[in-house]
Amino acid sequence: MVSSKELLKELLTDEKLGYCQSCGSCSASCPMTRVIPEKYNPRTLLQKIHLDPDGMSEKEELWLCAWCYRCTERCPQGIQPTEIFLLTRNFAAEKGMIPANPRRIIKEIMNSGRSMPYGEFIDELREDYGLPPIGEVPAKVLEEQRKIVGEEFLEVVK
Amino acid sequence: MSKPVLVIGGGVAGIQAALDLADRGLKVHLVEKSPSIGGVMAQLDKTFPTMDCSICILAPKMIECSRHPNITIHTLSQVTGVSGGPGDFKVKVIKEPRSVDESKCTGCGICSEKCPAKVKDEWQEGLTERKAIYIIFPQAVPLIACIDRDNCLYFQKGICQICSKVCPAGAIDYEQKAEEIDLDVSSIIVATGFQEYDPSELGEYGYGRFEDVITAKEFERLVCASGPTGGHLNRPSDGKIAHRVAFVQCVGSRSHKKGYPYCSSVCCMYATKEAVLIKEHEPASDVTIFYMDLKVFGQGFQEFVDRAQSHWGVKYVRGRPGEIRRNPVTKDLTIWYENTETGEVAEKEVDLAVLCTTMISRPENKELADVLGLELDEWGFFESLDPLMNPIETNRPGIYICGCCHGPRDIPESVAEASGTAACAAETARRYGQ
Repeated sequence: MVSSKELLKELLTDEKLGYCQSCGSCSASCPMTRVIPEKYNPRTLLQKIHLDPDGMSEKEELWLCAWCYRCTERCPQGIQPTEIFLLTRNFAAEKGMIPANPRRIIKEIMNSGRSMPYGEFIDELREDYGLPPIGEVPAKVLEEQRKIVGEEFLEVVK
Repeated sequence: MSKPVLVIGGGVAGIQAALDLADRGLKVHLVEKSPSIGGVMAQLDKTFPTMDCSICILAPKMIECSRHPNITIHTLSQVTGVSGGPGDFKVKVIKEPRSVDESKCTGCGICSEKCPAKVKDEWQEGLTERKAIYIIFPQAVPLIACIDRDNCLYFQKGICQICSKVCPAGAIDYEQKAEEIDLDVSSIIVATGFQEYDPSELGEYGYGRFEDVITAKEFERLVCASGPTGGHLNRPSDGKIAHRVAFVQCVGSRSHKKGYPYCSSVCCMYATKEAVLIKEHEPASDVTIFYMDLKVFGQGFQEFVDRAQSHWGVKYVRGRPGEIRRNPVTKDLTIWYENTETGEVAEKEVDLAVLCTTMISRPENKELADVLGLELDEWGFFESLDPLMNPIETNRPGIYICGCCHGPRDIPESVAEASGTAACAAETARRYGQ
């Protein structure tokens, strides 16, 4: 299996990040940057990752991308910021460096099978639309999910 | 007596080459595809960095071409076959029918006035309409009307014939056929020029969806006194005067994904020129140029940009806009951008957005390259023998290239190259002439 770091190294070659003209298409398209410009900017984040991929693991900034792929879609140079952020995140996760909020979500998914806690409120909402209650995720599915994710990762999230 | 020289393309480069050769006493055949010589330069409003009126510089040269005893202009013509070698090329030219007798038409324009068929005016970049019988632009050379058979009621439906009834000279000739002309020439100069990149594939800028997002060439017509609005900056959607204008640089150029990776070399300057034009029309206008890098390398260019900033108050913002949106009620456009010098992410509301599109090769180059036996580069431009030391010669001796047919360049460079090719062609004619 290729490690995240190796993949990251590939994405950081001149062919990819080396072509960045720092034109600002990504940051001008990014919905996150519009909301929290002081905290998150894909253009500067790419530069930081380029300079120090290892040091970025502990930064919260890395976890703020909302995965809309607008930057990747609009980059004139064909750089894939979203993919680079994903790999950098994976790399950080492998080292166990996951901030509190994403960690909570991961735990929720592993325990209940859903990213949002399940409660009566959701069933009530569904009833308004004439849908049956959604119910708990079956234990078999949760078991399968744990297998796919792997014990190694579960240790990290703990 | 030396054989004549063939010049393909009647833009500013072709005109310059033809005039240079004709002044040396050589006969020249100038072949042009459209109904008039002039090319793209005739469509421009002003030229940078001197802000001279474009057609005022070009028209005297065009007239000189038509009056020069050594130049024969073949309009509506295309080269379809070439054989032989330097000193002795046999060239076949197909001349499309004009449907108007060139020897009789006086260019009075009554036919266009009375013609009932209206179509989009390509010369005005589709911003207005022309008739099916038309003179392509007021300064056209030759100043002869031309019938667009695809849109003429007589050719399509067999009715009308109004033009032949109103023509005082009796010049309309519906029976004209395509002619084949055989030329015997000593050398060939290719000056077929460029075309503009179509930015509609860049969905984020909304070209094609929003009427007020226009290309730079469309803007040239919009701001020109002979344009559809008489030079008033009425934006296409609702005719409101555009006081807030944004220019977006590098549209389709310097892009590895969509568009072309090369720099279009003239956009920084023409955007500055167009920005200054707006300021000249209305000094209180708010004009912003969004650029990635300013590449102003020519003589007097940097001074021109400095003056646009300091004297005219044109704003330069470093950052490629991410997106253009439109307010459906007011039709105003909102540009999302990041000023990459300050890191500030902001939006700007404008009346008109101009996309500074790149120059691309003509699709016909492929066919012409096959006919001439020339090489094309990966972007469809004609390839020089050696881009550094031999830029105007080609892989085939006796055939020379100048102007934008081998890459984006500005007017002075095209003209200089044209004179260079004329010198080469004259030398070839002399060597093989005796």
